[in-house]
Amino acid sequence: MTTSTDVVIVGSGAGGSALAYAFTNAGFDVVVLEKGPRHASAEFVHDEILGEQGVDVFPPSIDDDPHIVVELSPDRREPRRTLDGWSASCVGGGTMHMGASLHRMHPSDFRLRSLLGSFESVADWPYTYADLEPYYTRAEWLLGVSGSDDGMPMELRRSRPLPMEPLRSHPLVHRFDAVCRARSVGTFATPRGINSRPYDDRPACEYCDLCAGFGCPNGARAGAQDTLLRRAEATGRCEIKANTMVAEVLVGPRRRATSVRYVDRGGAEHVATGSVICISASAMESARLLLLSGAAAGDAGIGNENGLVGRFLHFHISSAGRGTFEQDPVERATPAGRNPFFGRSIMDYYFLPPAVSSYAKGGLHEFDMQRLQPIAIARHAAFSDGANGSADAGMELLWGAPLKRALKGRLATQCAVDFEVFQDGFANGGTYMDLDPDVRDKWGLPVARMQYTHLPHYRAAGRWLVDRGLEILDAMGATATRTLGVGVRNGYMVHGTCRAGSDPSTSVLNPFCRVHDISNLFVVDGSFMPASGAAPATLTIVANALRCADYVVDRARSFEL
Amino acid sequence: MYDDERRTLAAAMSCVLPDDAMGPGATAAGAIDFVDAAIVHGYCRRSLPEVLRGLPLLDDCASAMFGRTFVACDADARDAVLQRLRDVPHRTAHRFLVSLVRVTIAGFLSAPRHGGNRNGCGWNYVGYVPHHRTAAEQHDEVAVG
Repeated sequence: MTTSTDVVIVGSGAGGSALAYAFTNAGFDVVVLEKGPRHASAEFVHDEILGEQGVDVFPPSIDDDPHIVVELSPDRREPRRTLDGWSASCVGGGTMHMGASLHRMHPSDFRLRSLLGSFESVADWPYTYADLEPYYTRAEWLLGVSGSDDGMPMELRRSRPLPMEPLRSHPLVHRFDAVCRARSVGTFATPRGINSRPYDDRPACEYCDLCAGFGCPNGARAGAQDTLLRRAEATGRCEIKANTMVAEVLVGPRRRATSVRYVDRGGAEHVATGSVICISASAMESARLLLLSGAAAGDAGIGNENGLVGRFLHFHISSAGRGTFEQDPVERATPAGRNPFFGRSIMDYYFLPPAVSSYAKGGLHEFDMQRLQPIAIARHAAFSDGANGSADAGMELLWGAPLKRALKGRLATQCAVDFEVFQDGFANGGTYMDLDPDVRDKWGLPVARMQYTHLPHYRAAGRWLVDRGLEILDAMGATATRTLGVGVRNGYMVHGTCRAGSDPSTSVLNPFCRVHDISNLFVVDGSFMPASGAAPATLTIVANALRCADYVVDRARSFEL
Repeated sequence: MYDDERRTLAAAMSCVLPDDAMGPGATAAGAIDFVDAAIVHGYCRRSLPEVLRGLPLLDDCASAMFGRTFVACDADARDAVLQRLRDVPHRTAHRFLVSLVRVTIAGFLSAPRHGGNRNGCGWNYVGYVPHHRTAAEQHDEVAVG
């Protein structure tokens, strides 16, 4: 069967849903093809066991739809299946389970190479923070971001304030603020895509225990289904086809993309034709679709004349730490005492002092309460809050009366403040993706394979950044602090596979995310990013999509497309 | 699970979280009933297969140490068996033990509708009050009883 529309969008996450919103509101008809299912909010049950089992609810099954990773390190070269590079496979994509820290990137992130010098394969963005600023603002108001400019670095103050005041914070935040003030460390409220009061016909957050990693049952969090896609569908011009796997983009004469070929849940083949085709399937899957489309025609892949599709793959890097605090059991039982949000961020360590690492880029610290998940906390306590659950000889493992004491202590009279440091990942010669020659997904198509090299900078910077966070927790009076991770790959946050740039010989997309030599094919998700920045990219992906949509609408109206 | 496996596992779980003067443990919480549900629904899908695979280690070890089955041992002897499994330089034994602790904790602290944490006694013990329940969850609890 053939469907015909103005714009075909492949994927419905942060990028695809923002496009769907923008195009439908400009009067275009849109068909969104989403590989995953559409979950109803009633399916977002807040249950630790179901959540733990429910990796299938968001990312796909590793049997059906894996990626392959080859670690290019001396001790680990065997290819293995991974879900790294997936954030979700469902209508709304990763926004449906995000922690919703909707930071803007720092102006310096757009021109890192110019500012800090050459490092691995990092490149400047083809546009500046000032170009994106109006779209950041639109994205913040569309999604509904709570937060405040108080304490924000000057260069990040917004041209229009956020639509909502920050969420309430756990009482420990007063100690944190005092410690940071005394040390002249600047802090600001973490901008969150979560309603602090009713907004956008959605209710306020109910401060339940399980947030990031779980679906939001009442729509207070700005998941795309509840925000951008809802508004797109309300126009009557947006059709979302869930459970449809796009296998190929078809390119016709005069270098125009004509349509996509897709398979529905029952295995039947269909074609969707559109005047504009947008791929927004997240960085690895979007690049994979370009490569698959070429394979069918026997060439290197759409947009891959220079072999650059997949070339500049990079992930975000994460480091983390935790401080445990005694808490009065009575306070712990109050709504304030079990507030899941700490809601503070620090950007004072966004750049590193000399001699910490080979490159002077640091990261963004974000502090939050450890989630009140009794099973996860209890299991942690069983390993003396030490080992990570690995089964090694001489392990510290509690059971019997010591375990019962530990559970009571840890869950009834203590709480913990966690921090995560978001660090840049950098495109480098040893990290790239292509199609796996052997492994196929459940549709019989070659899966994406990545070769991955972990740069020493990640750990050097991560160690220093974690120490800064632990110092603050110590000064707050934590009874114990510990490092949870140093410079590890964040498999959810993937970018760069179709780099955008002004020069077709060094990039796949033009500055508006159009494939260089194809006049109506766009890749709009994290794929375009020449550098990841140190802030999570969701808001940036939405803002960039709104910017690209404006470009398409302008060109279409003047018949230039 | 066969009946004797179920008895062995229940005994091992009560060793991990004993019912004692501090409060209820795996037996009062019906943690073994959680395992029944977990097998059917695929919960704890990494640790549960390790537990089921490693279960014969308990009887093997108990009969080597005390000349009887694990279930026939008293509480101190059962504890000695677990300690032995921890101390042997044997990865399978360690994986079993870690998984046993993980599954027992899940049976003690998961939502009562999954079979364990009977009447919320595990939650009560650690002072946890479930905070947010959607209409669907409440409906589920009524349906499952």
